[in-house]
Parts: sequence; C-alpha cells; structure tokens
Amino acid sequence: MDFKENNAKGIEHVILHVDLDSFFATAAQQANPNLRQKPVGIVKAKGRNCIIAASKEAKKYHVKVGSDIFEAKKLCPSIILIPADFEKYEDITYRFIEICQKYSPIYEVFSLDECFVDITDTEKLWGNALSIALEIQERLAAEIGDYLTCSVGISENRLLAKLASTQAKPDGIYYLDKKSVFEALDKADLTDICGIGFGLYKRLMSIGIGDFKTLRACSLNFLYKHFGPFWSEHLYNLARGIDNSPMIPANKIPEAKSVSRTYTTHRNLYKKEEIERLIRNLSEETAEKARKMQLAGRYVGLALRGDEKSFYGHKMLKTCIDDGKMLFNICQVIFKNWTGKYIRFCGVTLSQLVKNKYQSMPLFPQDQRRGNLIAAVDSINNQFGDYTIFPTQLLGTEIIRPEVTGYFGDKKFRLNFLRSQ
Amino acid sequence: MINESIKVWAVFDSGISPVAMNWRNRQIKFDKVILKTDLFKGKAKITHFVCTNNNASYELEYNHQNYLWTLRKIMPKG
Repeated sequence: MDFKENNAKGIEHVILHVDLDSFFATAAQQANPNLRQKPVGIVKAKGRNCIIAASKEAKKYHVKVGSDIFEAKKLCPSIILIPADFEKYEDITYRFIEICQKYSPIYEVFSLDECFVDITDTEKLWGNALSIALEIQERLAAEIGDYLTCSVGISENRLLAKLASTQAKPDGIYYLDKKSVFEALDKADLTDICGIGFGLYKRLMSIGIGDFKTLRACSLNFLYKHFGPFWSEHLYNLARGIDNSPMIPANKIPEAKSVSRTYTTHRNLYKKEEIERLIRNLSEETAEKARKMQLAGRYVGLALRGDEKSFYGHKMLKTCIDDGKMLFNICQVIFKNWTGKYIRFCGVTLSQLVKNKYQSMPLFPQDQRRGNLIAAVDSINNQFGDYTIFPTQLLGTEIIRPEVTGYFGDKKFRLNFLRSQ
Repeated sequence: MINESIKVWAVFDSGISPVAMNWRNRQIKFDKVILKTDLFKGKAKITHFVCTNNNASYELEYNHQNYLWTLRKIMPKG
C-alpha cells in the first residue's frame, strides 16, 4: 500500500493506535525466560481466582481476560498462573509512552498498554506512517524488552485506528483506509468497538441489531427513538466509522472529577470490624491521593457488594475534606445503613472536588493542628514510602497499598504526579 | 525469593549495566540484561534488573539511595 498516495487523496488526520500485545503476560515472560512460549495467566495476587491477562499461548486455548482459574485450567491444564507485578507494568508503560511521544507532541495515553499518536503533522519527519510504526516496534524490542511486541493500527481517526490495531494482532501493522472501513466494521463484533459497552449491546440486541451492517441500515430517527439524542448520533457515526472525538494529549488531561479506591477482597468479610478496617484503609488512600492532587471534595460515596444486594450510600458535606480519618468517619455513618450479611467488594469515593487552595483557612487551633499532623505524616510517607506511618486501626492487618489499574483510570494523577518524583 | 546482599560489577554509563556479581563467594557473569524497571519506595529509586547467562536468569535490585545491590531471585533455565 502507498501511504503517501492515500494521504494525498485526502486523509485529514493520520492516527496511530499502538497496543502492547498481551501486555501483563508478555511482561512476565520478558522478566522470566522460562515462561516464554508457554501458556501464562496473570492473576491479581496469589489466591485470586480471576485471570486478568493471558499470554498469546494461553489465548490459543481460549483462555480470556475475566476467565476464572478453574475454567482456565479446564481449557488449558498446563497454564502457569503468575501474580501480577503492577509496579513493573507501570514502569514499562512509562517507557512505552516515552517511545510513542517521540513521534508527535499529540499523543493520548488511552490505557496502561495503549497509546494514540496523532502524526498528521510529524509523519513526514520520519518518512511515513509505516516507518514510524516499524520504528516503534523496533524500539520497543530494543529499549524495553525483546519479547515485548506491539500491534499498530493506522487510520484517520481514533475509532478506526483502534479497530485497525485489533486486525494487526499480534505484532503486526494494519492500515485501514476509507474504502475498507465498512468491510472492517462488518467483520467486527459490536462489542469490539470502544464505546459499545455491555449495557448498550444488550439494548441493541433487544431491538434486533446484532452487527454493524444492521446498525448502519437503521435511520437516525429510528435510533433517536430508541436511544435518545446522544446515543443515536454516536451509534449512527460508529456504524460508519466516523469519530470526531478529539485526542486528549497527556499534558491536557482535565482535572479529576472524583477520586476513589475500590477493592475486591480475597474472601467474604462478615465481621463489621473487618469491613470497617477495609473502609479505613481505602479512605486513607483516597484522601491521600486527593491531597497529592491538591484537591478536596465534599461528596462522599461508599459502595459495598457481597450477597445479591449491592449497597451504595453517599453524603454531601457542607465543606470539602481531604483527611482520611474524616472521610472514614463519614463512610462509617453511611455504613450504618448497610444490612447485608457479608461483603466481597468495597469502594470509597470522594467527589465534587475543588482545588484545596480555594478552601478557607481552619478557624480553630485543633483543626490547624490536625492539618499540621496530616502534613507531617504525608511528608514522612513521601520520604520513606506509602504507609510508613499508618492509622493504628490498620495495625495487624495486611495493608492494601496503592496500585495502578489496567485502564489507567487515574492517568492524570499517574502521568503528571508520579513520574515527576 | 533470596533477598541477599551481593557485590556487583556494573558499568555506569548512560545507564547502569550489571556485568557480574559475587554471591556466596561465587562469581557469576551475566551475558545480557533482559529487563530493567524502576520503582520508587518513597523518595528512594530502586532499579530492578533481570540478567541472564547460560545457566539462569537473575533478578537484581539496586537502591540508588544507599548504593546497595540485592539478589532477589534466581530462575534456573529449563
């Protein structure tokens, strides 16, 4: 294919979607050559039941992300289960981003293992899009690890570039031009496309839309009737490969609207004290993260899941807080309304955030003292590591520490704060 | 996990490249560094290396604050 010719024919933008292949599993294989060419499943930690990543070899046995380990062992008895090493993955991600950003100042970190690069204006500096894609693949192997591979999709918008990279897997490059868009979409499942989640998929199926061909045949009026003004237009465009959403460059990520920490436990927690300790742990982390981002919030949410019932409670405060103990105290009040038998999941949220410099100064000496104490604890923990000093309530428990998530939901925090350490 | 202090011969140039280590009075030469990752424990920067030779892969840790090397684990080949 001739990229220059295609560009000349009027592609306005040239977007690369670079996706690390089976990232967590390949990183484990990179770190331990004994695991190479073997089916590997990554679990969050020892004793966890859910596969969060599968190697290329395990995928051949149909082991998928989200499979439980019993199902995975049934499909592939020789699968090797390895606990995740999120610190390693996070550092590899930073190195991967450093490679991608060399080719354009307009790059968007989409998740821990995906990056969009807008090379519209910089393409010619390296020849063409194909030479950039090849160079990224070569540099990944040379600078990070020779077992790591990435797939690169090239097209005119984010939606199509991402679709193209799925066609390129593993370790390939795929250019999706205007003429082939419908063909590529018709080969894809609805859920393969970013922007169609499980809920939307269920609704589409309920009215007989099971593929892009059928979706494309629907009029905008029909979609409007079923999905309302926003989703109708979104679906209409998706079916035609139209995506006008702008790139969100790493230096222009908007301020966080909320800060939260969720945790799925290893076992059911029945005792109230155990659950409260978990809430305290998550409250401390949430508040610390808010403080690091120089934010404070006045909406506190607590989510608990265990038996069939899910519980969500919230409180709106008059003033903004960024203190873990205060956050916990409010969660404790919300927790009193919980009537379940046990929990398996807990989440603490702080939102309605404002910059904490806009908060009023503490009026009373005890509040001032509390602020000073938190500042001192933060300073020690920043110097010597998270939870060097921690609340006595967490004494004797296995402390849950901050960790990066696969979708990099807190990338603003991670990219702008942590890397600057 | 071994987690023992070791002596390492390394080249400090544009980065750090471990060449060999002395562990329990044995000198082990490395052929290649196959992975290098950084992490932070508070302000202390820790670099992890996975080095290989014909016999095994070795995971080493270098603490940039106190200049100490630790052998974390050995992964024999095969």
